[in-house]
Amino acid sequence: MRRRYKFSVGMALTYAVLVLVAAITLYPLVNLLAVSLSPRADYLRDPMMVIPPRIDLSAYRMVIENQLMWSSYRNTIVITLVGVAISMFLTATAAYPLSEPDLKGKRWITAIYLFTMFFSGGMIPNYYLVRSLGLLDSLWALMIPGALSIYNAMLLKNSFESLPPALKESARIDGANDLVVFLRIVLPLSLPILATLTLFYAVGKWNSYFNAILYISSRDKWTLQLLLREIITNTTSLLDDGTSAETLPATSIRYATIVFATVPILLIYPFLQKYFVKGLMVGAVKG
Amino acid sequence: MKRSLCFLLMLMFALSCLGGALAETAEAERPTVEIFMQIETEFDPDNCPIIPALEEACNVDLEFILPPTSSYEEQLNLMVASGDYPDLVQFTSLSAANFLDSAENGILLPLDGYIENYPNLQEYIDPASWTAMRSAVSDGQLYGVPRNSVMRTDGWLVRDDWLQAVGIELEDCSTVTKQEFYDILHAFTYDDPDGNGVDDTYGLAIGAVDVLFPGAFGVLGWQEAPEGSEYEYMSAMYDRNSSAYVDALAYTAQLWTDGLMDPNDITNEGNAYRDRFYDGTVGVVRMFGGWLDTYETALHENFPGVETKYIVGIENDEGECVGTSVLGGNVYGFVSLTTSAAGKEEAILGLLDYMLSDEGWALICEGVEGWTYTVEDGEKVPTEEFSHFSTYRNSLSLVRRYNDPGYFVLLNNAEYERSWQYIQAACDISISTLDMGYVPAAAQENDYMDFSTELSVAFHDICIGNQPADTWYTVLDDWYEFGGEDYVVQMNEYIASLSE
Repeated sequence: MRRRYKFSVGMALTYAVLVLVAAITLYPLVNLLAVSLSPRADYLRDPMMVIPPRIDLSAYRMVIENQLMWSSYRNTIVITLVGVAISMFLTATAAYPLSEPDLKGKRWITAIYLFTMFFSGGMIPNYYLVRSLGLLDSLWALMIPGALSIYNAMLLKNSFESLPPALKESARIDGANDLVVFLRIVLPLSLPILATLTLFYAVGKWNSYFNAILYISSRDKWTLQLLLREIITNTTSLLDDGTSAETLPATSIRYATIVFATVPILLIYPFLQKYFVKGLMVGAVKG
Repeated sequence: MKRSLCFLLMLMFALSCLGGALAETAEAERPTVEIFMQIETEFDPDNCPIIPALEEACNVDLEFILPPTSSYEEQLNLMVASGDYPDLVQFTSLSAANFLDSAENGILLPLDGYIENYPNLQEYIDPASWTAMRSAVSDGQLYGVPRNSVMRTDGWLVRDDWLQAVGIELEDCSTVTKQEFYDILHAFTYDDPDGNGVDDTYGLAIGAVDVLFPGAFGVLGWQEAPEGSEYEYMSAMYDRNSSAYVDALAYTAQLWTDGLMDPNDITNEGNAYRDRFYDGTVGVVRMFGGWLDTYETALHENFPGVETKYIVGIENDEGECVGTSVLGGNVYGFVSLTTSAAGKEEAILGLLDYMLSDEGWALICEGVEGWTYTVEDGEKVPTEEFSHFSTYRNSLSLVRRYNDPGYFVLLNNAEYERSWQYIQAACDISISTLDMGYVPAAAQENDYMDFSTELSVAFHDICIGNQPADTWYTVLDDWYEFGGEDYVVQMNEYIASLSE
């Protein structure tokens, strides 16, 4: 039976407010895109533009021709893919044992994990640790330190604990060991939370900036965010004797760089979002 | 015959092996110099012909560590803390803790025994900057080679079409009186210079809230104090017995309260104030002479064919135009040798010396023939690559000739002659200050630093007219109480020590 929607003033007002909020939220992005496609003269005439009067791709051409852009993109993709894989592996393998009620010393192990969540060595000791491991100026320095987020591990642990114990028991009765239960029962049933944590890690790795400042010195290992900041900010301010006319790239180039760097993550997000609303627990437990 | 031929072949073989071995030995002896510096991302050492040219000329191999300029200080601090030192490190400030700690902890090599052997370093580096370098560290030794810039006082670029529209005559590259300058800004603000019938223009944008041309009021940094002064040396900014600085503040405040300044100057970041000139919002903008081509090119995107003129500065009450450079000691960054460079001092200093030689200086300024320029009828003609080179050219020069303002007039500058004229005028009116950029230890005290915020707030309030200019005397009394007295005493001791 088709539901009939009745028009009401309240609903109209609600939609109006939502449209307004959406417009306010989207406007900066639209302006960003419009300015990035405009020549400087048009930007100066109308910096608040929504629709560029004419399209000029020279800013994107300059961004694409910047060799560092491609190497930074490659590095960031590698860090994101490999880093997320490492992080998810560590998170899942840390969370699963803690979710088992029979684990001896579970309380103490959990307490040690939680302790690290609140206290750390600080920036300088971490730097010395990374240096002593020989990870300085290496992409591994951006993937391994901080790979395991205890907060995410606790989230996953709670999710594992919420699974019906009967599922695991039935698997064990059929001869499955812990590894088989973990890989064949627990992980497939936890896809939504795994997808969520994957997204959290991926965004964190993609946006990683401060660790890159600390540990990376070679340009060919710069990450995208590092290059982004380099292009956007006044990069010679420390030694600016006022004799370099163009220390700040044109606004269109800065905005084009931002678009180039953020569009991929914006495009990928919708594909992961569906995992937040779907579940895989249909008919898994009988009786 | 056969034996002779065999002998000859063996001899040739032996000679070729020996030559190869000698070449390998020579190559092995060529030192590698690791340079830690900041430079724009456009610089690619693997694809910049200047680098092989420098390597060949100086018989060194160059390797670069190029941290992001946006986090250069962090990387510098980490490098100093790490214990892994490159050979040559570029520091940004003589008063920076990372430099002072490095010098005092023996990380940097003193250069006193070496520097006299390099004629170009002696001739082309500002003697004042050597003094500033030596007096920066408590042991009085020299721990770096300074990079100079142009000691100048920048003026302003003015829309000539606006001048004509409001009926003001102005000679290019001239000075003006305080009243004339005010009249120009007033006309640009209220007389509709762009003729569009809308009140949408302002007089001046400088990109900051600051005292305008303090030299016109006798504010010339640290100089010998007037007779009867409490101290031997004084800056008018801190002189409780002088009205010079208050007069300068009052003039600036007048411009703000009368609405002649671009209000966006309070909030604009970086060089965004120039956009206000390019888009026709302001008619006068602060400018370094070397930027003329850049400014006019950007202005012509919106206003094709518009001409401009340059105001050198504002005259004082005696009709003279005098200014001071903010380049204390003329040290704009410097490079230091670390302990890793032990044994390579001559190679590294030779590299820096070569950069200032005629041949090296031409390389640094103009690039390589066939890459950044070609020679046609005896004239150097810039290629397209020169534009790319010019984006990092200033940073690539680890050292510069201090007495060559032409360095800042690029080959591809369409207004070559005018730029040179403006830069020279800015240099001619500048006098040096005595402080050499020195920052007394008193400035690091808690009370002083805490009060600095209040001082800054009061300064900005006075500049934009929120408080009367003579409020400065009250602020100054507080400043003296919160560490300013020590600041002045220590500065006097420092300046006196320079003449000993």
